[in-house]
Amino acid sequence: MEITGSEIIIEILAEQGIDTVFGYPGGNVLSIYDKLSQNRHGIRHILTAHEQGAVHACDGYSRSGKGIGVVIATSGPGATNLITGLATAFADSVPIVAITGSVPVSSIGTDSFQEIDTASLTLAATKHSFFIKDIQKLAPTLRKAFEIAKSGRPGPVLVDIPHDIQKAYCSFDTSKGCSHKTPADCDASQDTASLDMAVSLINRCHRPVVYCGGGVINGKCSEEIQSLAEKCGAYMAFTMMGLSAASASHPRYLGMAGLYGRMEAAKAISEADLIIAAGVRFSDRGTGNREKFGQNARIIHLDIDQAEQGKVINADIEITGSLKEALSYITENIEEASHPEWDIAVEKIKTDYSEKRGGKTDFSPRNIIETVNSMTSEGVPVATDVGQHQMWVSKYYDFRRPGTHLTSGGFGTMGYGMGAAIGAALSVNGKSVLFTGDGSFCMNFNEVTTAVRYSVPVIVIVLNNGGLGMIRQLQDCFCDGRRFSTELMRKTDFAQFAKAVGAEGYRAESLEELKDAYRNALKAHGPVVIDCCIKESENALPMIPPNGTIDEIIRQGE
Amino acid sequence: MDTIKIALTANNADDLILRITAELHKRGFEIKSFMYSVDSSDTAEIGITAFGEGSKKEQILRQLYRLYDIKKADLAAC
Repeated sequence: MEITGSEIIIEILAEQGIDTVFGYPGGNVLSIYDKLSQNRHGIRHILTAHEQGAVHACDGYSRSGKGIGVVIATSGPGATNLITGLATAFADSVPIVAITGSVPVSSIGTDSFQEIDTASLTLAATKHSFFIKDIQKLAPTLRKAFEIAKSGRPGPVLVDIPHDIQKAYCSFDTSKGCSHKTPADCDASQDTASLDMAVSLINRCHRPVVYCGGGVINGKCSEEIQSLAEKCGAYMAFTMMGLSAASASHPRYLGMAGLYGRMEAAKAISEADLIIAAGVRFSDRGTGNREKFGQNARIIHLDIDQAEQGKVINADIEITGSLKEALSYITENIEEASHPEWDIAVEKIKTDYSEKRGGKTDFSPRNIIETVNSMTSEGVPVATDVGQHQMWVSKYYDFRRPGTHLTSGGFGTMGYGMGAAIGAALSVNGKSVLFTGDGSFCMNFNEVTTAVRYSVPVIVIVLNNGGLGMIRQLQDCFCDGRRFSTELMRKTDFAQFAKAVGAEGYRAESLEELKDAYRNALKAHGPVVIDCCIKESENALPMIPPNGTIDEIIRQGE
Repeated sequence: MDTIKIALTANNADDLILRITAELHKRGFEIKSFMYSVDSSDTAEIGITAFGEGSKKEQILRQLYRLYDIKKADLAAC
């Protein structure tokens, strides 16, 4: 039987187990939306306020456990509006399939209305992209797109489909799976020589640190990484993306390392004699001065992506492949060890480098985050935007379950959070929390309207300091205090804004007011915005300057 | 800066040249020459001479190999 290209798209989505898609209609996806409206497989469509919100929601949906997100946008501006979200997902290895409409094949190259070469535009923002010119290739290409998005190191894949291809007829065989051979996950257990060298190195070390990245979460090997740390007596430090890989309550948990992380984690890395880096890409935000990163340590680097090996840091042992297999092999073969001298040293590091806390009743970012943390169940996804609040959440929120921390770690996309929090809440079919700043929130707060429309219970905590705090802080530190374009001087009332678009809104100026508002938010069935007015003087300090080391810490007041 | 020669074997995909040149550009390599031939089985053989940091030559091979349609990436003798 012959069916149209749009029907093929719906059939493939159903075949891939997709129950929700995010998107925004337009002229060149008219046919796809027409078929979606017929609801043949019960696929839910979430209409966002903007395509960027759609792709971030799709990202949040994927990160929160649904495996793969799907987003649909029309040609031209619809497609270009996706690019920031695709780049965000690409940087953080999030599997997404983006379907865009394109002008009809006969119009290609004529500069027709809403025409742009989407596949070329998204080259640098996707794992792969396709442009379909032949209806016969539509089904196999879509299947290939799903396979590429989720295989190996996950990432976004875009399929651009001209409008006439969507309407063309073609035979479709539901029994055909992915016919194209895709690169299988590399089997790390085959590299026994490197694994045995790693075992030997671990058995001989005295000051081990396990450095966990987002690959540990993607590889679903949180248990394995904790077992390894426990068996070899290592402490666990994290990249921002790896933060929820182990519970913050674990006795060997040091928290996030890096420029804005916990200084005790960065110091432990600098003192370690062995760093077992799993699923990390040694981002400059994480390492600081790369020449001096782990300079007293041998490094074992495990990653599923061979291209990450040697890209930034030359490890002593490189192991490429599935982390789960590699970590299991190593843990099984190492000797159980304890390092009392290292334990004492780490305790001293914690004493010397842990951040001193201010008053427990101050309406400070730390107390706000810890208050929300104490009132929130551990399985609730917590999203952030980008800026100072992102660093505060990384330091002060105790994540206890893998995948509950959603943030734009690699691309640093302000405006990521609102969409991501909506996607996360829909993914877990429950509440999600968004910590944002007044700068980030204003970038995409139009998506509160989406949460209202679908009664998505997102609780938005705006850490409102009246400016672009992170850049203002950098201007204070590195531009002799010359602040420029970082004072927002707006008069936005976020609580009133929330009410104006149909959400609940509160303003809090003390921890007690926050608790009252948050209790109401927990009872709400739709989105709630809590505007927390914090002092402008609150900074993401201490910090290590870019390209710096732990010996160059900048502290509050310096 | 050094001159490196790269030999690639790949599926002859529509946009392969675009992807390869974009990847080299992204990693700071400047293309001096580019040869592309396709055999009867639709496999492309590509020879590239590029100008860039010699210390990054292994890394650029790994990045090129990561592209979906690339089957083999090697350094060729200069």
